[in-house]
Amino acid sequence: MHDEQTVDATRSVVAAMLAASGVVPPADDLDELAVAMIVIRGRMARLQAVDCGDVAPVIVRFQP
Amino acid sequence: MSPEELRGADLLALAGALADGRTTSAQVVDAHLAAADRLDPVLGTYLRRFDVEARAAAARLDEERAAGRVRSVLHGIPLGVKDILATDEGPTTAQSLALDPSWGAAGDGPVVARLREAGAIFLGKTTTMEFAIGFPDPRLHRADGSTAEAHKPFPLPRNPWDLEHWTGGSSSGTASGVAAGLFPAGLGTDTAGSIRLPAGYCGVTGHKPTFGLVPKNGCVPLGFTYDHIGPLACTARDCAAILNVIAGADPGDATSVTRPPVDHLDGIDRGLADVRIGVARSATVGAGSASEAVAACFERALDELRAAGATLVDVEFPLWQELGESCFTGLFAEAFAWHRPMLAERWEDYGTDTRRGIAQGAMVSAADYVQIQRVREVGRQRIIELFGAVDLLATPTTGTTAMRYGTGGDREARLRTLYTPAYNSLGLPAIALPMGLADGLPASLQLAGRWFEDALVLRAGVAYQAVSDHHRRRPPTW
Repeated sequence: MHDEQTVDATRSVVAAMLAASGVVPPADDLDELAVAMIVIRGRMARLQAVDCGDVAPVIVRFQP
Repeated sequence: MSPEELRGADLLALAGALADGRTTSAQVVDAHLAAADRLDPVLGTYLRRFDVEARAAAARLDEERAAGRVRSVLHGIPLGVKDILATDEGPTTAQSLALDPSWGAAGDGPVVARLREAGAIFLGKTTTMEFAIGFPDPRLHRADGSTAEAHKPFPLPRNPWDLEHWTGGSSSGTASGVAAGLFPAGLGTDTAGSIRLPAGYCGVTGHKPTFGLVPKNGCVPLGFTYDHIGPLACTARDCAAILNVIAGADPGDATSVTRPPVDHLDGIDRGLADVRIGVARSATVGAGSASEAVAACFERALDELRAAGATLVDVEFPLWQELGESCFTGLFAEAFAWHRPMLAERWEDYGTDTRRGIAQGAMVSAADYVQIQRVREVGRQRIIELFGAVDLLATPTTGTTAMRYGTGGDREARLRTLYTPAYNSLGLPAIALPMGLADGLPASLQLAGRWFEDALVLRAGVAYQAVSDHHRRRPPTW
């Protein structure tokens, strides 16, 4: 799994990110969310490694 | 027809029996409600039943039919509806204590309204995962809310093939209801596999339409760009009959697409003689994430597809893992955007798994979200190249059978056994088809096609079900 030091360091980051949205979870939820954050960073590292060149994101597509 | 024959019949068989006067809608509804009286307390299929409204609708529709008015093949057919879709009959809970009871007060969304206009009858709202995402916890769910630890007054959905196993989710009750003969078909939603996975685990057929083909307003959103509404039924042909009614743009959903109407039943028996199916083994059964029993079912299913006339070609699915991870990350960001005010105010009212899941969306930055969309677009371009060589793609729906409650294990490992989310990232149509039993529980074949070629996907499902009988098997809980 993930080492305790990394989880500890991530916990405060997660708490700050959620607090910025007005969400203040209790400690046991924060522990789990810290682990989730590490998982997400791993996923995003893999997605960042995809060669997207100059491809633009399709976020909104309007039709008449 | 006897009540047992009625609840054992698929949707179009019931439509035929109604058309030639062998039964009435009142009898069909009564047969299914009687089955629910017996089995729902065990299975946890329903959150709320609409017995009174359903019987009244059946009587009204029988009168219409007697007077010569038949609305469609769905005239007088009972359906189950996942409880994140608004209906006129009653409130929508999304299986959560956190959702404002006034959500859905406007009544039927367009999909439900279209089915109602076509003559369908809604027997009730079916169980889901909380907000279509939170994993059910057997310690917290009690149907009657009567014990001290029963924090959630919602039933725990149980698999008709083995009550100690989950149905899969999040269209849990719709899948178990079809499998156990509580209704012949119903509606589910699919953000990362939530139609196809419970269909697969419960041994029924489920179709995720092309993104944009079916409007989503009137549904509690989870991932705005990943959500789909679609049918679960006994057969691919029944799914086509429902899709014919629910497809079509609605001005209330900007992501729904205006296209000429398609009759998905037209040509559905043309077979697979001219169809090339790409087999994506390396991403699925070849990646070590499937059980031996499911892998064996898949190889048999490929033989059955060949017997149905298809040409099979081995292919590499581009960016399979990345598109799956795009889904499981992007949908959290989208879900958090919608849930943020409620999470801030009502954190404790959410289930543990739900709130922890959705709150992950706060950790996805704007740049992350943009990158996710770029990966989806690269995936779209790469899959277009692949669809130059094949017409459909085949994988198992999932690498394992339904999970036994209490044996969840590592979440990330579990997610790798789900072969559905890449198709949500891409918005491609995909169908889950029963492909036999693996260690006594249903295994499922997934076929996916090009955008808006739902008719071909459904046709392939019909062809497969013409040469196999897995979809005819009934669970021990019947």
